[in-house]
Amino acid sequence: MISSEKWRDEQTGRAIWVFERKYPDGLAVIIGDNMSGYRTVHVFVHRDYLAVDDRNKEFFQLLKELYRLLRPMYGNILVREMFRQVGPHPRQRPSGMNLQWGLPDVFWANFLGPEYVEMFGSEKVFSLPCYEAERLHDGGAVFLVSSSPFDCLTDPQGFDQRRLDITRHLGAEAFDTGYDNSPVKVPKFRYEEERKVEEQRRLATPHEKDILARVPRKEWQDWIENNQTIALALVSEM
Amino acid sequence: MNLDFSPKSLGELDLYFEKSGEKGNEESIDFVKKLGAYLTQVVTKKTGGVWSFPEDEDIPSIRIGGVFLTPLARVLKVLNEGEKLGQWYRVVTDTIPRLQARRPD
Repeated sequence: MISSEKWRDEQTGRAIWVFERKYPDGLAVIIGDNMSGYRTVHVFVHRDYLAVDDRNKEFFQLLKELYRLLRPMYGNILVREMFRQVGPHPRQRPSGMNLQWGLPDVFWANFLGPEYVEMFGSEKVFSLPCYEAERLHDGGAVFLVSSSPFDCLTDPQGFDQRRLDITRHLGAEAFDTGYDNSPVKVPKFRYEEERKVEEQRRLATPHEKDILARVPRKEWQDWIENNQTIALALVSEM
Repeated sequence: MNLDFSPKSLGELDLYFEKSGEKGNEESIDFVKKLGAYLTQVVTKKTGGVWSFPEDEDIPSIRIGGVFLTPLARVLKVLNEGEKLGQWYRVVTDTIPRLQARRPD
């Protein structure tokens, strides 16, 4: 059970919780911070589970409920094949996620917080060339590229064309190009001031010369036992 | 970022730290644990290194042949001093085995 008090009190950059179940269907929920200082929630579900009947729609409904609870600035639903390199240059970053660098890409389901709807304009968001767009309770929006996330596998060209059309409709300048200095259109994020204060607090904290030796031995034993899972947590955040 | 546990992915992480310019700011014990775990997985996948954590040591190491290495300490070097994960990986997987091969039994 997650303690809401613990979540509130946990310091930025110090929290990661992994909840994982392998049987009967693979499921993992990872809650924590990512490298750019945002708090993130990841839900991983084995694709075979979602491929049955209308479970992808059920999952979509579940994520909408999660949005209602968490009120994130951004969210998405994707299958791994939707990840793609941003541009051909070898030094360009593959698509990752740091909202300060722009939206990561268009995936199957795309949740835009109210700041994004305000930035793009409601008219533009709700006239997207997508399968479905819906207004969310807080002024945000969610849109689907197609009826199923697996369309990217059965009709990759069609799916990519829709992603391109949506990107053009919103404006490519709002998306992460992978280049350092390219102009990026980003909204005024609602948690920005809070993040700056937190960052300054962390910078003001005296450097701990040997933070490793101060970790209890039991924690390191757990780290060894769960090493692969902890490594996967990094993968999911980057 | 494609973190697929390949040596190349360490280069991508190095590039990320280089570009973000946030080396020291990212230090937290949980992040050190995550990055240390990832680095350990990449290195042990290649070398078959095994864990070593005797009672008189403060932090775990991996043993590769006759050499003991601490990925966690390396991660601190990367975060605090700008050292490179990819460079360390090459030393671990290439230089050390070559040096060991020259040593008489």
